[in-house]
Amino acid sequence: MLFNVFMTRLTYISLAAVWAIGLNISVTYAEDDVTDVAAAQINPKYTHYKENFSVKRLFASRCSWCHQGYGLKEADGPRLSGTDKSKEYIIEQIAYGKSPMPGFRKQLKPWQIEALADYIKALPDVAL
Amino acid sequence: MTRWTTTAAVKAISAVAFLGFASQAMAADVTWDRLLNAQNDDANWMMYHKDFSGHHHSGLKQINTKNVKDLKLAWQHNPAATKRGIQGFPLAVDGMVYYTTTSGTIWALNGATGQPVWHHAAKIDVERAEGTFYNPYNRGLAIGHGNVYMGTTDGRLIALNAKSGEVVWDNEIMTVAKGNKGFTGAPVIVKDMVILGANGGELAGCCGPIYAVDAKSGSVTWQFDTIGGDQRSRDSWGNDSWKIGGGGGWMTGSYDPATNTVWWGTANPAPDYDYIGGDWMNNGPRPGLNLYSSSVVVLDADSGELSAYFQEMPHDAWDFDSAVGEFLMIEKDGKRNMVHPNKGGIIFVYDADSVGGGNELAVNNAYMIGETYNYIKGVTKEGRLVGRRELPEGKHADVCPAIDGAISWNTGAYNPKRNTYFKLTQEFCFDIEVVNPERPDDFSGQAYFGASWTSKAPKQKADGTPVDAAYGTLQARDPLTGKLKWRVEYKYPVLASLLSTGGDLVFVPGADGMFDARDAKSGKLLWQSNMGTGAHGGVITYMVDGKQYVAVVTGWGSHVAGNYPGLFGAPFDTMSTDTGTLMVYSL
Repeated sequence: MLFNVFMTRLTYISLAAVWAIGLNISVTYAEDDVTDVAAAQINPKYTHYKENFSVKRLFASRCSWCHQGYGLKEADGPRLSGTDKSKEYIIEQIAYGKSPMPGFRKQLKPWQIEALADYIKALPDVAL
Repeated sequence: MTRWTTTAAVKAISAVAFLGFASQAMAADVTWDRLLNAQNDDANWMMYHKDFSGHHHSGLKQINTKNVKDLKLAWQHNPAATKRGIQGFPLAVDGMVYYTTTSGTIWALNGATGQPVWHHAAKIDVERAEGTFYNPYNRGLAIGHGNVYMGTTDGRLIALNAKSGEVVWDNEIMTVAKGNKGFTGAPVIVKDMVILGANGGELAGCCGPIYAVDAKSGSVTWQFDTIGGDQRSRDSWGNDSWKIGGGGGWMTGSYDPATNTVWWGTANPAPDYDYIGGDWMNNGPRPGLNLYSSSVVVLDADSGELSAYFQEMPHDAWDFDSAVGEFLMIEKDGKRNMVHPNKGGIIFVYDADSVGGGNELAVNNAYMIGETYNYIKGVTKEGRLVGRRELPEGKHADVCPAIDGAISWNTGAYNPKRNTYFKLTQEFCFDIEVVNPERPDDFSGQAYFGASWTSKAPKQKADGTPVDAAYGTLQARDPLTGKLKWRVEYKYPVLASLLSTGGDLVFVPGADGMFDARDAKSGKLLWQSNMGTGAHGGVITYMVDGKQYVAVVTGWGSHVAGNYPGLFGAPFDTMSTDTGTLMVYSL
């Protein structure tokens, strides 16, 4: 079985195939995208602001130009996963920016900025 | 209509040639006639594209294939910290050199020695300018009518006295009321107007205006909205999505004196990417064709009214906009052709006389120069896309080229003697997940994307040839037929502009900092110099006191350049992104 899926390197795939006489058994275990795992931790905290809130959707809409791979890959902007910065620092950075990064305090609501900071902090130290 | 005669212009040019001295006083005398006839004035580089042919070619041949091996650094100017390098085109006029650095600083230098004459640092509204990711770019200036003109990232156009650098006027041209923020491209002078376009392709705003500003007073003469400006445009954006559709014309276009028209490329629509996929005419965030995004617009120079257009990327689903400002006027067999490259790796050849009435331009030919594309299967000779690869909501692997395109915004060059068009491509791809983004408030100017992505090397060319790394090409072609004459592969895609000269040379400022001079006939490398850092700006040539110079700006750092550490590692993983230098070479 071949898995050729998006973000192959970050996707945790466990595959076991057992062949026996006259028996073909293929067992596929969990397939976890670390960005989905992080988002799943954060989304429920903010659904009282917005039903079906998705922090990855918000990240894609506002942050993807510079921060590739939902924050896992360094590009025009730095990799965000594994940051040692505090949540407060990240909130400040998103709100006010630091040239050439724009400040988003006029584009995003405070709870959206906090959700993005929570998501970034929840990302494990994984790089693409 | 012109206010000065060609004869007067020729006299002025001749006077400069005989004086042969870097007279600051003469630098103020760039009349409209001089600009109109700039193609015949190879001692100077007086506008972004050198002249209205758009060839980026100078007839100067003191430096040529035989002696280029002796080319050496004459002088350099370091403007101190310049975030994301220097991205503009220097201008050279009557012995002076002018150039811009980031955040709106202009330098005026002696063209023979590099000695500073004056400089001006615009005071930028930092909060407004840094509200976008188009900050702090500045890609050049215009000179004429005694002034030097520069747009700013906070929506202003500034006129400075060309001799003294004193401010003549400093006007806010564009407010933030509809979500647009500022200018990054160089202006161009047409008659007694200064033309420049707004950025904003990825912002939830409207209407990406192109302005004509009176050169003397600084008041707006006309404004053309690239989206939402006429009923045809509004009808092509379902659900009033033009109010958050981006648009803009952020690079420097050109002018065709024969038809008195301004030619300009426009930016992509917002949001980038469309989760609805193939049903984009009826549903999704911006149902319809999204006119006039990702298009070439041709405007009456006096009124700003739409004379003609062609949408190169109907309902652009890939951010392959038409903002490349390069328009090459090439006449052959009695036909006038306007050649324009699109970010998607396509060269469009328009019938330059098919203007008037606001109709579609006639396309004489269209051909692909990108090599690893798979977002379409190809393009017809009539300029229509074939076999679109839509990107509906979800994950898509190995989409080529990446958002950065196969062609970046810098210019190629054309050698008219050899009928050879030199053009660069960049060959890398990405994995992308397309999402359904939340609709921002109308005219809000918010960042508005519909995807997250990761750049990567291509796996194969469009013809199926396997590929194992990202790369770039320098291609030499017949510009009208697209016939390939020679091709050079670059390990690191070159992001800077090219220069063609009468010395049968083509100059290539490399991403890794190596500055190449190649034989225009064969592509053979004849000379190379290490500039110390990568380049993604302009390169020109000019003459002072009978001596030819080649000037190039260096400095690294941009959205496209940001992919290089991941794609290539060294030297880009340690390359500075806050320095840049003007390097000037001579024999």
